[in-house]
Amino acid sequence: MAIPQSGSLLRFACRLTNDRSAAEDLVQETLLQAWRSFHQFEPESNIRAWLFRILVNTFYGQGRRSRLAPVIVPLSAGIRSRAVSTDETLEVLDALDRLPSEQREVLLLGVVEGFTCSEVSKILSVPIGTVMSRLSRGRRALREKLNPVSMAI
Amino acid sequence: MNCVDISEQAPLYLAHELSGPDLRAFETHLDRCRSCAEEIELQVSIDARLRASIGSEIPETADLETVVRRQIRMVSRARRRRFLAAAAAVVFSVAGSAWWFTRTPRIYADAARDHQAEVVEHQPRRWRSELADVNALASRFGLPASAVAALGPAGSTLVHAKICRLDGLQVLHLVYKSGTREISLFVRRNDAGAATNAPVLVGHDYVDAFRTPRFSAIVVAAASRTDCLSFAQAAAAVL
Repeated sequence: MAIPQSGSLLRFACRLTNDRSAAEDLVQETLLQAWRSFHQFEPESNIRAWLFRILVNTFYGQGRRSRLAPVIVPLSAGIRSRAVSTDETLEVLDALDRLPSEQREVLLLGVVEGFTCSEVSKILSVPIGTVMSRLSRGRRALREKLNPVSMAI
Repeated sequence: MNCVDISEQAPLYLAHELSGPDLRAFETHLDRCRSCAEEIELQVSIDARLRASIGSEIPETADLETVVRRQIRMVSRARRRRFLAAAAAVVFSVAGSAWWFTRTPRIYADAARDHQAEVVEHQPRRWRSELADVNALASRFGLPASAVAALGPAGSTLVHAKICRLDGLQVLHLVYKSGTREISLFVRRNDAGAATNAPVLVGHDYVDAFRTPRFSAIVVAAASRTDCLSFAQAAAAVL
């Protein structure tokens, strides 16, 4: 039986770390941590958001990135090769990777993973207003970076 | 709602978090304001491109899941052992004053773990296999050579011995083999008088503690409860 959510956790972790093997380590640690602290999970809350929150906390706990000085890591060849290699996909991935990581995070969680703003706020432990303004700035920045010709799908 | 409100509330609208009067006010403004409506449409199309490009990518996780399952199994074994040891503590809380008996939970858990790791799984340890070496170790615990030979269950032979720690206390770990079954006996000097506990299942093994006027000992064996008790009683008779 597949472990629920491991695919979308790994997808998010790949974008967060830009490193396939670091992402796998991160997801492993996340799932183990979730298993260890499952008694803390409140049944009426969203288990998906809970898992992503553990992943984000684990990532920051490992000190891989400073919150104050986000570093834009170039997309690694390993991930690029695993993506569906259409021009459109590569263009979007490149544009996303050129965003400040705080904007990239909220777009990945809020748009790709489909979390609401209040869920993203809990996952990242930042106020909902901050999530909303990052989403707006992220969408604007992404639009500027993407080729306007291919805008109309 | 004015255009600034729309710009601020757009993330909530796009995440379907607006409802009731807020949603109605938002949509009413979009109906009347062409530039806001176009802005929202652009944002919707950006979101769609992002989802189509990245959301369609589901990485393969089978290997990763195998590793996680293995790690969870390892952790849960250790947890089960700790839980059983804690359960044993309740049973033995009324027992005597010797260290075996008052410090039962940790000692039982340690004894069972050492037996599992060192004897069953053969993890590398510095064992003494020569009889002379084993006897020399035993003498440091005040155990005569005759006792070393006679301690194992009937028909068993001494395999090897080493010094180890159970709950921080140095003990002599003797391993006997009877057929395919290996039995651990942990011995330490004692002066608290004789007593024998009832065997307790810890993990896969029965663990039984006993003491004689001179020694405290623990037997660990993947045997039945009765067998474990009879090993313990036979060893107690020797000690």
